[in-house]
Amino acid sequence: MTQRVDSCLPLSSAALHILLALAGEDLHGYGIMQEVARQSEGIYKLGPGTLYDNLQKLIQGGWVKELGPRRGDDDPRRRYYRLTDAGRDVLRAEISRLAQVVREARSRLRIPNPGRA
Amino acid sequence: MLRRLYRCAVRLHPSRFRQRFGDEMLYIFDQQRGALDALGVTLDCVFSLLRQWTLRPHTRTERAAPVLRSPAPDHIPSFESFDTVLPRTSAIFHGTLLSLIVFYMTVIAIPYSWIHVLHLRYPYANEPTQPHSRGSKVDVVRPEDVTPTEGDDRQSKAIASSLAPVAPVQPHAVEILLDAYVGRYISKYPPEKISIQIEGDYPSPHLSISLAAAGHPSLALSLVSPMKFVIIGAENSYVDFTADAAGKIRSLSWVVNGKVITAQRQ
Repeated sequence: MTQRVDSCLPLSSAALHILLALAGEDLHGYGIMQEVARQSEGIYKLGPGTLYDNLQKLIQGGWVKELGPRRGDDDPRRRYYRLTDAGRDVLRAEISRLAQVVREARSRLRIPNPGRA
Repeated sequence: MLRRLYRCAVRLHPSRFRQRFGDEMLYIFDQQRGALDALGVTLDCVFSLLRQWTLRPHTRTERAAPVLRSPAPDHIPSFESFDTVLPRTSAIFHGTLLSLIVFYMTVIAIPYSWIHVLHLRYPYANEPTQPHSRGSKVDVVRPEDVTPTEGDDRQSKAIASSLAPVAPVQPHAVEILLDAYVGRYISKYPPEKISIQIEGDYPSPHLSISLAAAGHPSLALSLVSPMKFVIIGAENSYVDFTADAAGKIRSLSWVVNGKVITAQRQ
């Protein structure tokens, strides 16, 4: 089910943020929405329809795994999701691609690198 | 209200998607604090609904896990498809096109077929439910109780046009004595002698009243209400009777194509 990494790039904003949110820990859907809002400082907010549409694609691609509800959790409707190794590889590849884009942009716009400033 | 709308939108998602994520989507809605957030989540769900049905064909064609069908506790209907295979896109397109064509043809045809739709048959005074004497009793039937039939368009038009200014028709089983209408009525202007008489003989069950005037053939009257009769076979023609305080018929107004002849009873 796992696809070739290169053929999947670039990722959509929603997919990138979901993978990034799951990179730290397993989260349920609402947790992913909150984490995405936190990472983007409230600029990018995922709705449930967008979230689960993308989660469905990521699960089918083998990048995210559904863990189901946790025992002892307060609401049985919560299901947790985990980033798979394949998903982590895709996320790394996307981050590298974005880093290359940023480098290119800084070069073109003559913006000094933050490390050298 | 918004939650019901949201729940409906979730229920309308393809069954595979709904079974997998429906509960979580409801959970997320329940976590929203403000009405604005709830509205945003609902809108996103509606867009998701459109997206799932239009851009995600695999979701629709995947076989959904068998579910135990039970009535929803909140009575919101859910959509289930028994067949996991969708028809061809071209078949859906042709079906939609055909449905639209039939719909528009029906809409266009309605104005031309109104006579058949609104063709009401009113019972005549000569169709009583019991045998009658000269003081016959007949039932007044409400317009909504009668059934449409074919034929005699002119009569239905006359009734339709004469019904507009009439007070609501009496309910069932109002007894009317035909003798009360019988007599001679004199109009001064235009000078006219009008007589109302009973047609048919006792014990015939087919008694009715008719209107006779000089220069006119005998006109059969059909009961609409205790004080109103339409003239059978004539458009825009009817007879209104007027009674005094004691309930005795004193005059009539014969309306023929907008012309009114008022006559006093002799």
